[in-house]
Amino acid sequence: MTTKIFHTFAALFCIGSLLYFSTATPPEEKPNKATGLALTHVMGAAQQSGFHQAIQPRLFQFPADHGPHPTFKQEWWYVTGNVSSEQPKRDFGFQWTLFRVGLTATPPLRPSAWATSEIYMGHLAVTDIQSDQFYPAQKLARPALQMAGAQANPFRAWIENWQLVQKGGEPNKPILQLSAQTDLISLELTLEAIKEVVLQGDQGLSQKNSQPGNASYYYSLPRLKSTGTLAIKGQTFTVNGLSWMDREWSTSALAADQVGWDWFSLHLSDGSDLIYYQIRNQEGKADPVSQGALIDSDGNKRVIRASDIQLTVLNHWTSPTSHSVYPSGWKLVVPGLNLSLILTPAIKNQELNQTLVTYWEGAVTVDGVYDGKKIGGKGYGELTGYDR
Amino acid sequence: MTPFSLLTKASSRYYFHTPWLTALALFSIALGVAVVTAVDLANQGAMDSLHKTTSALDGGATHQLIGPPGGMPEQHYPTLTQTPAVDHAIPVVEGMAYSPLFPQHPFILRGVDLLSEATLRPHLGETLHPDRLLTLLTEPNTAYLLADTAQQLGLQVGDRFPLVANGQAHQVTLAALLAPKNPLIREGMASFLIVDIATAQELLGMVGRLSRIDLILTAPDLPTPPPGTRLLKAENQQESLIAMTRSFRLNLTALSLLALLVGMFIIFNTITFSVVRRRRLIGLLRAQGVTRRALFILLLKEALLLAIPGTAIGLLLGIVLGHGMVELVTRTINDLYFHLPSTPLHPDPTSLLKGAALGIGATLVATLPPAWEATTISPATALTRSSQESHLRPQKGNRTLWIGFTLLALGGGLLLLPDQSLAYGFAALALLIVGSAFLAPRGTLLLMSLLKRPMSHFFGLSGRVAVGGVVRNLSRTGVAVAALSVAVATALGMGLMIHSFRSTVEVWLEQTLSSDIYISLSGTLSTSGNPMLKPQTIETLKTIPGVHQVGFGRKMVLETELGRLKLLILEISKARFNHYLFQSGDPETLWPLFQNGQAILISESLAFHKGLKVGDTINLPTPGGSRPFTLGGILYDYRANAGLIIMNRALFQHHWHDNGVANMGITVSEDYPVDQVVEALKQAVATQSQGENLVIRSNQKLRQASLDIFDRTFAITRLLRLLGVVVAFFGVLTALMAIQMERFREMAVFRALGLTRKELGRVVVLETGLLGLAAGLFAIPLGWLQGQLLIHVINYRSFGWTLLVEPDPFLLSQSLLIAIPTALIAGLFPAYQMANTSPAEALREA
Repeated sequence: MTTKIFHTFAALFCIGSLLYFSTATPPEEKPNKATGLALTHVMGAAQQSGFHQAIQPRLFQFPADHGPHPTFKQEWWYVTGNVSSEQPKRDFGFQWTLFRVGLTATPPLRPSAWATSEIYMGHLAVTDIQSDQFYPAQKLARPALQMAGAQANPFRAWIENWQLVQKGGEPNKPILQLSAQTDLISLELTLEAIKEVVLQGDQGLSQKNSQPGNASYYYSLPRLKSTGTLAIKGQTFTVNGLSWMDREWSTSALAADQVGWDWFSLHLSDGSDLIYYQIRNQEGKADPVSQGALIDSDGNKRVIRASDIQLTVLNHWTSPTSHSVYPSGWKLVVPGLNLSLILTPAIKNQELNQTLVTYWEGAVTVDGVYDGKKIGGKGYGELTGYDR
Repeated sequence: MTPFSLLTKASSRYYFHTPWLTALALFSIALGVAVVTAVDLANQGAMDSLHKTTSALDGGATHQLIGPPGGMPEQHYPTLTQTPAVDHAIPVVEGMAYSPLFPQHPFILRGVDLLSEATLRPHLGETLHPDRLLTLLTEPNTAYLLADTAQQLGLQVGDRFPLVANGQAHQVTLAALLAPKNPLIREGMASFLIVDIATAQELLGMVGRLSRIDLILTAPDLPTPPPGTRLLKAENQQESLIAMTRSFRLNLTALSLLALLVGMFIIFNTITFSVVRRRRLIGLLRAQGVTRRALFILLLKEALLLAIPGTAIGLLLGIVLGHGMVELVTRTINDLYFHLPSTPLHPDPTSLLKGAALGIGATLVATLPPAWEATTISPATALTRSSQESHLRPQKGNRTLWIGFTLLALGGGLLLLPDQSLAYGFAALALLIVGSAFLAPRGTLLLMSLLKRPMSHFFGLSGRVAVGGVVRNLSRTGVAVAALSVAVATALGMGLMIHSFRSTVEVWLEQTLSSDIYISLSGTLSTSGNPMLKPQTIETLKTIPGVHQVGFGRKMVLETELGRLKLLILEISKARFNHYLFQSGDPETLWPLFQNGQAILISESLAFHKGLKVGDTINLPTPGGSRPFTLGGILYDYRANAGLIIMNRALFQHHWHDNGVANMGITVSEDYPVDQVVEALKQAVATQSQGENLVIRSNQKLRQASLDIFDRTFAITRLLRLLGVVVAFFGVLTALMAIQMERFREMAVFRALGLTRKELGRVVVLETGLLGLAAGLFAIPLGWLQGQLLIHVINYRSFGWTLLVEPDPFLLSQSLLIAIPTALIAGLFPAYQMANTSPAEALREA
């Protein structure tokens, strides 16, 4: 009689409860939009003590470096690609990303398996170009109970049922299997590296500004022959095409006055691949350390510096959801290479806005002239720091 | 000027000339409406709170996967996230905790996985400051609290405070304050201490286990829930909660309708009175050609003019009253059924409309008989006053008598129907009340003829005049007596029921709590993560000198096919077992069956609600799957209305593989004083137990605590009873004052004939006193009947509780204590006025 029945209403409480919570924080620590686990925040200045920094070039080793680097604060496995089906004739873009975010470099020893010092976040998106549809999704998990994680040998990176796993090839020229399902979309692709690993920046040290340590270790698998199936709302397509994989880990990257970046990876029709990323400051100007590379069909890399390139925005697009204004269409000219390209988003709305971080990541088509010859291609663009 | 507007004028003049009566009539309507509205608002408010809070808090979970007590293996979670039918899965680890710093504020320790919650609704990132989020995730023993709660407890971010969970003391740091925008969620969270799921596992001793998993399923069902778990639909759960409290709420509504019924009698009385008083006027109007129909409509219009402002005032009063009442309703639901946050009342327009319709409708219904009566007045008879009373006495008297008996018979018939529905029970109660009211005038006559002599003997002329006055004015006094006795009887009946209930609980506690000392872990409420007594603590306590015999118990909540049930696990001696009050089953033959695990016991309310009887089997979810258990006996039990199963500890251990006990009952050796042993136990606990917080109470203290809860759950019923008394009081005041005010002229004649002021005053007070006496006497059998109905029909049909103790007959005298003083008070004012008015003036005025 003295004990009350504690009731289920309480039990029903769980889901969503925290979603309504707003922290009663004093005004000076009012979070900006998308701070929680936002990359912009995580990549910023806070909570770095104890983590290593990318200060000087290092020796990359594979397959070890395909695996996680827990002494660095953040890290990602980033696959983007364009695939097409013949019957029916359809074109798709896709993005499969796994982020690892270190929360503390000195985790205390705790009995619960759920106790964690890092978080994994997956982003998945499919662009259905002909239908002008975009299907983004997100997953968050802690590396408890094998719910998410990454390992080098055999290589595997996963969050729940989204996973990237090596199924053959050489350590620096692997064959990977990519899979992911949501209630709307499903991907099952074999990614076979046509070109070997390419180290970005200075032997893999990618400087983000002049400050030593504000840099990442960065390598890419620039051209992956991609075959398999892609399904949207139950309709399955047999597809093939090309993908790009980026691997990057760091502790601090952007400086206080840097707001985001524009990043492009392009597969050109002559077999060469072009990557270029520029870090923007608050005025929208590109940092001089911005750079890229042209990798020819044999895998030879030629560095493109900020001073080598003219990147002109041709159009803008305003997101109806976030009201952010993104550049939408570019003219990319590298006079020294006699290269002039027009980049056009495959569809305008490829904004991930149901995710912790709001950004634009989408398929682009390429048209232009290279060394006097007409050239085409497909690629991916990523635009961060435009959300307000 | 048309006759009709003349009529209107005449009627408005009447009400303006008797402002006191008009005001009191308004007040009785208002009070009746207020009580009904307040109860309805409070009921609605409580259910609204349940509804909104669950909907708001569950954030779209379609199902819950509930683990067995102690939780399910956490590995179920990743398996579920990979199951195709599962769209989202959110793990929860939950249990009770409390801080010795805030003994009055037990916490529900809720372990959450912010990440899976965030996936469902991504704006978490916007609402939680990242640093705060990191602290909760990465630092052990950090917690969030609702900002309001923290303020109430005087805690600030960064403060460390002691927390006892799973019987162990810990230090917890407040990492952030939460201020959800939705007030319902805020209310619902007031007792939550939010921690990371890892911290919850560690604090609650549930490492490797989850309490439950909230799910959003894309399919209607999970093909195979993991063994030992149960899948519940979120909506079913909420529905079952609402259904669980349905009887309780219906009960309150019905009790509030009783208040309105009493109010109706007062209105009936007021209108009847106004008709009788204006017979002459009505006769004149009829003689001048006003039709019956016009008269009828006029009287209804009059009633409406009273009803509308009265109802409006009633609604306002109801809102005010409802604010206080929702608290009481919520608290009772908390004590009887489940935890419900108390939320501020938002007056529901439907409740207000209902109240308005009831107020106006009841007034019109109460007006119908006198209005009909008025239309039958023939122009000729109307002009002679004396015809009225004689008219009412013989034939009319017989008719009312017959109506009264018919209604009583109908009510009795309803009770005999095999359908044990609560609604029929209340209908029978209403018929009984109305039927008895019809008997009141005849009863008054009878009583007066009996009292004629003694009154004359004791009070001389004044006594004779007073008795004569009652009889002569029977058309008004009869109704007044009826109204007064109904009001008093209702208050009496409810009082009897409460008394019987409380005495029953006392007896039951006496029997059931037969150990001398009870030991439990503090802050332990029955959830799956219930902390258990440590074996070494039990061993230590057993060895304390004076401890003769030890029994063990444990409570938990089970989600079964019969709904949510309480399971009580006992290891007790035969002597204690024999003390239990069995409704069916013989303790002597049951004991070996119970002891061997061949039979379980259930509470009477569970048997009643689910139609279970001895010999039936029920299936209970055990870690090994659903298992049948045979019902050996049915126990009287009054602890909670949700349904109780009692099982032998060995049987529980066999199926649940869980040896834990949460409380101990100790029988003290005869030569040791109980208090001394309590002290010795407390000392032993203080030195021996590691961080366990034990509550050691003597039988007497525990019994008191239990009775306190009982009293709390009956606070609402007591309040309704009190309101009934208040309505009755004002009703009587109105009725009796009306009668006396109307007799100014008659009294003036008495004065003119030589009655002194003092004598006149005495006549008036004696007359009202006689009416009070009549009402009080009639209320005795009527109140007793009402009490019996409430105890044996309404209460049993609502809750399935048999009340074993008959109410004290002495309580019946309360009816006279209410009725006579009220009547006398009602007489004082007119007596004073009449005595102070010169006969000439009074004669002229009339």
